[in-house]
Amino acid sequence: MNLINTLTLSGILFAIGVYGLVTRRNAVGVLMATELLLNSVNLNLVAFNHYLHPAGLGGQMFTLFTITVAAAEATVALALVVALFRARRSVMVEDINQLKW
Amino acid sequence: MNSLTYLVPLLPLATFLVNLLFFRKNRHLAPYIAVGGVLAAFIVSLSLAARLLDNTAPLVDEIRWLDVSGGVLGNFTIKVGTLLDPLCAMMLLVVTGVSTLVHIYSLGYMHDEPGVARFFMYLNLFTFSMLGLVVSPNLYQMYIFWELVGLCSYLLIGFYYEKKSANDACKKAFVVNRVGDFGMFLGILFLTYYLSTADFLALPGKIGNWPIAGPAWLPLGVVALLLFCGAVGKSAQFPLHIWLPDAMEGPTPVSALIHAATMVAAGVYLVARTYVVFDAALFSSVNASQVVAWVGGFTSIFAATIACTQYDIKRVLAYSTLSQLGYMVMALGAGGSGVGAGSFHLFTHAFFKALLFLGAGSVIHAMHTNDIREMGGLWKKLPITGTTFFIACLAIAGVPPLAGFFSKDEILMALSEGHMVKLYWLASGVAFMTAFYMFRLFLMTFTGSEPAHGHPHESPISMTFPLMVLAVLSVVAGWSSLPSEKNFGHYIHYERPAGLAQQWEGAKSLAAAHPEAQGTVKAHELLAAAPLTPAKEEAVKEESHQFQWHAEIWIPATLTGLAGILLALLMYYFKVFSPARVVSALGPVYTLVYNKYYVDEAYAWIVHRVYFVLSRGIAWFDRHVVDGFMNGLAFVSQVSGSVLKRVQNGQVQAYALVFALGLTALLVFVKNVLF
Amino acid sequence: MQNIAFYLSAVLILWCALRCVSSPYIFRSALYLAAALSLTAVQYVLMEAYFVAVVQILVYVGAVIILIVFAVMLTAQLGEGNISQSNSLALPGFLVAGGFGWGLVALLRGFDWTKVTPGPATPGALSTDSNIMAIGRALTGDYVYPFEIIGLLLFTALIGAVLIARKDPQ
Repeated sequence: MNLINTLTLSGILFAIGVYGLVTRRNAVGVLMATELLLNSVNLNLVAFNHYLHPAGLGGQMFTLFTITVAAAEATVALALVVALFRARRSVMVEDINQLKW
Repeated sequence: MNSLTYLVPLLPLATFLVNLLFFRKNRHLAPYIAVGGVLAAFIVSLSLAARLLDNTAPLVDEIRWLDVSGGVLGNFTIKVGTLLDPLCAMMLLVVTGVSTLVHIYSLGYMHDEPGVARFFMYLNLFTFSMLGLVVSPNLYQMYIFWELVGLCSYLLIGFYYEKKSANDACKKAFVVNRVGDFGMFLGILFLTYYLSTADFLALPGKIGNWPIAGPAWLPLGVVALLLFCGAVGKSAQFPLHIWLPDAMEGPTPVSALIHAATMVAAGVYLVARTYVVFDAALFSSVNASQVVAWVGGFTSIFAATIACTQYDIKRVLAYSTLSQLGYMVMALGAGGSGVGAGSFHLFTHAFFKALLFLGAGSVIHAMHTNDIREMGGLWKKLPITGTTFFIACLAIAGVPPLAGFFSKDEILMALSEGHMVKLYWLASGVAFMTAFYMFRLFLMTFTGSEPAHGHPHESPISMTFPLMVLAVLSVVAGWSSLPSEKNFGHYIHYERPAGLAQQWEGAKSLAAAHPEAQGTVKAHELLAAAPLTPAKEEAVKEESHQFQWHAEIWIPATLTGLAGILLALLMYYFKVFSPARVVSALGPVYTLVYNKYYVDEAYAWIVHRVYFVLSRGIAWFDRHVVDGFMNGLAFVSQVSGSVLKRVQNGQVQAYALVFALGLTALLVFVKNVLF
Repeated sequence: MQNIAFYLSAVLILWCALRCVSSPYIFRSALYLAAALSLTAVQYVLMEAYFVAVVQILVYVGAVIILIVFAVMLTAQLGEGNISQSNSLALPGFLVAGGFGWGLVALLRGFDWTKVTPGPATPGALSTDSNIMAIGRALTGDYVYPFEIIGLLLFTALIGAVLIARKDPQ
């Protein structure tokens, strides 16, 4: 069934997002990977809605809200990155390592 | 309130507190306040004793302190309060009376000392502690005051705290006392455990509860001996006698009050109070009374021999005290009639020994030395001191009609009634030696050629007044035991509880007949289960506690004393035998006795070679193993911490990786286990 | 026809996503992300979620990507092109992500989806409504609370972002 294919797609997308989250050195790159994560989730939700509960709209509603929240979160995160760049002149994540022993 | 007994200890305590809080540096006012406190206590004691003259029933005032009911002891509470009966009243009179006289004496003797206010504070504290001990209605309160008395003794012996010898002596006194107190406390605990009571008045009734067979069985005699350990420590019996001679480092009034008249009598008092335990122990498998009598006897002859060789006036008196204490303890071990005899000797001994010490203090005050070899011919210079000292020596030698004669005789009678023949002869020998060394002391100090240096003069009235009072008492105190309706023995004696012998004998035979007895068999339980055998009652001779003019006792005793005096006169006054020749004739025996049989050296060896070696081993274990373990734990924590902290490297992505790893694990778990 | 669209867009999404996370140039990463997000909208269309597809384009591609591009430009460092964009956790990251992906996919594929009971119909929606009409009715009907709160959230995020990003007042 196409549901399983869609789920497979979103699963791989999520894994790619995790890889990017862990690997990217630029902070903005990390944020882009985060967007990939959120997107995979949205795909999942809409897929479940379409294939398992075609009569209802729950998945799509959820997706709408997720998109909104993701946008808000991206806004704040990028504002943080800009402020950080202003303070440190660097957006490399490995330079932000003061919270340690 | 049944009686005003509580006032007697509290009055000296009040003056102690007043002095402590307000007059600590006031050397002019503090002594008089102290004297006032003790004098007031003495007056109250007089009225209390007068009250008991007609009605001898004990008066008890108690409040509950600690309720430990429930559990294995059943209904047991520790109470605090006062007990007033004739024995207690006698002790109150002795303690307050002698204490007042010592306080007055100290006004003169300690006048020029820098710490005189502190001295009087300590004296008051001691008087309070001793009085508290005497009025205690149960063993626990007595133990508290027992320790307090030990503390005061420590403070007073170490009064001259700048002298090393005084410091050593006070520590020695306290530590040696502690050893005895340990045994005593064990005895108290066992007694409480088996009898569920520690009250003196309740002991005779409950002694039948002692188990005489079964798994939890302990011979009553063992407990009696444990209690006696306290007496061995406090009353300086062998082998815990070593502290008393060293205690002479304290000022002489202290020696008079504590180490002659009162504190050392506390052990005798303890045994007298708990005598029913010793009496019942006659029927148990351990005959405690024999041990007590022999310990006392040995101590008295041991100390008497040493006293014959010493040159320090206070040391001679200290060993004399040891010897007389041995006499009292010997009497206690002789049986029921010995309790009265021992208490009477305590009573008379307090007076003449205090007189001897205060007189010695007067001599020391005049001569500024303790060594009798540097004295002589003081009779003319110190007439009052000399006369009173002479009276005291006559009293202690047992010359009739002074006090010592009556009390020694009663002891000898008790020994003969108890069929203790060897101890009787030992006691007679001690009496001979007592007379000898006391008159040796007197003659060397007061007669003979005058010393080359010094201007001895008679002491002030504050010092001689107590001497005179005590001299009068030394003469008349013995007359209170003359046969009459209301003599000393009428009030103070031991009565075996009715049926005690019957109970115990019967129970023992029943226990022997039923060896399969399970659990703990109590004496009275067995009797309840079986009919009584006919009484094998040993009737306590009620009349034996009164003094009797038994010619076969008093005449040899008096002659022995006179013989001792004669020997002393021959050696030291008429100079017929030279003491130096006797010394050289005795040779190594003399050296042994002069060095106090090397007991102190033996103790020192044990402490250093045995005890300290053990201590060092245990200290090593404590430092390296126990502390090492703790340090090791801390070290492990620290090291593991510094290793684990590297996980927090500040790289957020590493943290995220760990999250993902956890998620993966969770995923695998969900997939395989749940579905 | 639908299958071809699905598989083509799926493969393209995955390729764009891979290029996004592994490109050494941050700007190209942004562009690849934009492509991936747009292709996801195609997926939504294939699943008849038309409104969501449009919102995806509008919000994600139209706003979030622009935002990211702005941020990239504001934080550009000189000589950036020569620096590797992958940090030292590349290998463990690959392993973990691979394992995670494999596990997730295996779980999803192994589940028996036919057993799932269909959910309830959207209340208030008429059967004749188009997708957008139904969503409209739902948003102003049953889902009005989250709708309003989302508005509040956006407002808060707006203020927060402004506050964080502004220069310190001297």
